[in-house]
Amino acid sequence: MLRKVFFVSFLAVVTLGLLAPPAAAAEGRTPVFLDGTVIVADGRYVLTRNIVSGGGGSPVIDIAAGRVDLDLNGFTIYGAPGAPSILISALPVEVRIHDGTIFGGDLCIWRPAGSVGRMAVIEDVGCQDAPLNAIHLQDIENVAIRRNNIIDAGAGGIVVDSPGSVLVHGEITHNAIKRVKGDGIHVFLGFAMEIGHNQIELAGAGIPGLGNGIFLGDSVGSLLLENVISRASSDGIALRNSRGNKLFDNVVRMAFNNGIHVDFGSADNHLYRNVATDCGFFSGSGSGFLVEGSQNDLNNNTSNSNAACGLLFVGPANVLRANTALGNGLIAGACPPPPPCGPMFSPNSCDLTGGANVSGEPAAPNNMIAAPF
Amino acid sequence: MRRLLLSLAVLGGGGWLAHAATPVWVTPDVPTTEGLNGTTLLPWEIYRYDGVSYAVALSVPGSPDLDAIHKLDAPGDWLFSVESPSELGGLLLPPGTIAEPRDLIWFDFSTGTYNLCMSGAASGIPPGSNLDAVYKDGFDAGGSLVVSFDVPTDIPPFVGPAAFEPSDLVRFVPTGLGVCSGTVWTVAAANPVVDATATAPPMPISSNVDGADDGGMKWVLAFDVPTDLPPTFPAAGPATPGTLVEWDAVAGTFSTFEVLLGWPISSIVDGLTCGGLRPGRVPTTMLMDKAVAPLGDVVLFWGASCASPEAAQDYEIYQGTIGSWYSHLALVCTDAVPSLTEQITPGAGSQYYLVVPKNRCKGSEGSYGRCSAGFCGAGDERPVGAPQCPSVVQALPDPALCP
Repeated sequence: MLRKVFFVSFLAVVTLGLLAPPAAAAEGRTPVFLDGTVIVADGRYVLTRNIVSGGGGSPVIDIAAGRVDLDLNGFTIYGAPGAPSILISALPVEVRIHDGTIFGGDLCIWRPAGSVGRMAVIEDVGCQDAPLNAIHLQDIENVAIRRNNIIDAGAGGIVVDSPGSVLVHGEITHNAIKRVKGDGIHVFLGFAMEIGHNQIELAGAGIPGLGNGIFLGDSVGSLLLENVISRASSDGIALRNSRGNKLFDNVVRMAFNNGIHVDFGSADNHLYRNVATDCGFFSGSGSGFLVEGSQNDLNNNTSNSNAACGLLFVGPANVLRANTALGNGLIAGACPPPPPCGPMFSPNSCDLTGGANVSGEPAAPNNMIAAPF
Repeated sequence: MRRLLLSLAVLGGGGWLAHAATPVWVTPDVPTTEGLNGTTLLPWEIYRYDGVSYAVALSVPGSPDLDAIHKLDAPGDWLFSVESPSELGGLLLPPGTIAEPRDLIWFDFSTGTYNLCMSGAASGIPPGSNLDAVYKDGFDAGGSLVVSFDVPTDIPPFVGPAAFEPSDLVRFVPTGLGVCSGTVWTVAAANPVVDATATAPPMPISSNVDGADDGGMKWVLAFDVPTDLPPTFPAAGPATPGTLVEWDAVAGTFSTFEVLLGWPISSIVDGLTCGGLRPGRVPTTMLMDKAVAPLGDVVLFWGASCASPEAAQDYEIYQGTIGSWYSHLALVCTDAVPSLTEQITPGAGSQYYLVVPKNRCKGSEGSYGRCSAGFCGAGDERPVGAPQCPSVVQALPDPALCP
């Protein structure tokens, strides 16, 4: 009762503060210091202490206003089961949340599907022990999720999707994600997204098939660069129905399934200077690069020491140039021998289309595709 | 009628200032639109709050953000500190001086000048420590300064574990004469005046006292963030910005001193003062008349105190028996509207009356007036009432200001 009463009083204070012209200064932020705070007025807010959820199925902080900057100010929010720690309402919001730590709550930060949100910025936030997705943003047009640390989530690390078919644009960069029981980063309907400089370890939490390092679904024109992905329990990087994306300088190691997987519906992607090694051993059939789609360009990639093939082409009309594939096929028979693998490739790589893929240059010396050793 | 003739005189009259709130002076940390009247309070100005309005009392040139303020006893005189270096638009004296956040400035109303009053550097305050609360303990000239800092601060010998915390109140004693001691002050050996770790409960180190004034063994404090000080705070919720907190060192309790109505919690009370310490003395021109009703009542009229109106915010009336010197005790402890006049029901017999000015915020009362030479106590000051009005301690006038 005390909390609700105070919530009302706080609400009144916040609302009253809005009736007058806003203060203009570097400070002048409204302090947030109570569990169950509902922010109903645009403005800048700042935590002035740690806040512990009293339970009861309500978020610790509910952002129910359109334009809010919430500075966690180095403090910690302790959520409780039954609600997210921070809920962003399904309004046309422009929200920024930054500089603090969140423990628990069903999710650390959740913006559910609803009316189209304009922008969400989440920066320098630590999220730990969320039973569901750590950060889940839905139906937001523009996201910037930067420099966050996520560990031990019960589902995905950073999930950006759009049940309302909103194309999401923006960046997911410089995050460290570890031991999440889902995809490390999951983007659906990305459009000109940049996913870069993330470190993802144990996506899927070691449970086979549970999580990809990075999943990009139905996304176009996006950039995946310089991500480091280790021990994803499904694919290291998975593209589903995604076209015209560029993947470069990513490093994938020890994915349980494939290192980088471009599915049947994915085309026109450029994979450049990526590294996929030691993948596929848990599934027993994973390759460094599995390309099921068409018109993809693989250039200067390194795919060594994988369980099945280094480069496995299932789809036609892909191009490969100057790739390195050495020491693959470590699980005998995992990479099909020719036939059906086409004569272009040695047992390190396989073209199941019977030669419908094209090498941009002569196989040697530009492509180093050697027999397993 | 007889009672009326015998009930006598005294000193001044006063009306009751029927503001529900005790007047205080405040300054915000940012431009702040208060909710009472929609006035925008600016951080380079000082405002008098009386429960119904915020009225400008001082506007500092150069528009520096003020973060410590104190009303001296001299009418119109102020001490303040700035949030960031400022030369007050070129008006700070000596010429060319730039005040740092660890300095204090004195506005001398009689000359209209702004003068460096405390050099933080010369007084041992390290750079990076900002004075964010101040009051003067004692007369304007010669009294000590009590200040607070915004960060843990080492001032030898108070270093390391003995360093001052942001909610401590720290005394500096003068090394020279006048209001400003030649700008050089020395940290007192007996410190801190208020130890934030020794209050009950201790003031959280995560909270900063950024406004303070004292009244005897009580202090009025403003905190920069919502602050828990059980049992009062959070029985009613934490003390939020805009809630002035009283620390009673005798009772060992925190309580609400006053809530600034209309103050948004997004703004910090960045400076706080209770007005001057010494409410002065009312002039010997009191008048008395019969009240219209009820029969037997009388009305007292008196003149304003010789002290500034910031210091003499209120008046008390003491009643004693003529011939029994001195037998006066508290009769009325707050002046009602209209000001400088009060209707009373006289006691039985022949009574005399004394009007005593009071600063409700400081909890100080002024002089009871002077007796004939040699007839009463030192300085010919009449003794305080017994009993006195509650929660007051006498602070005799500054003879320089109230001869």
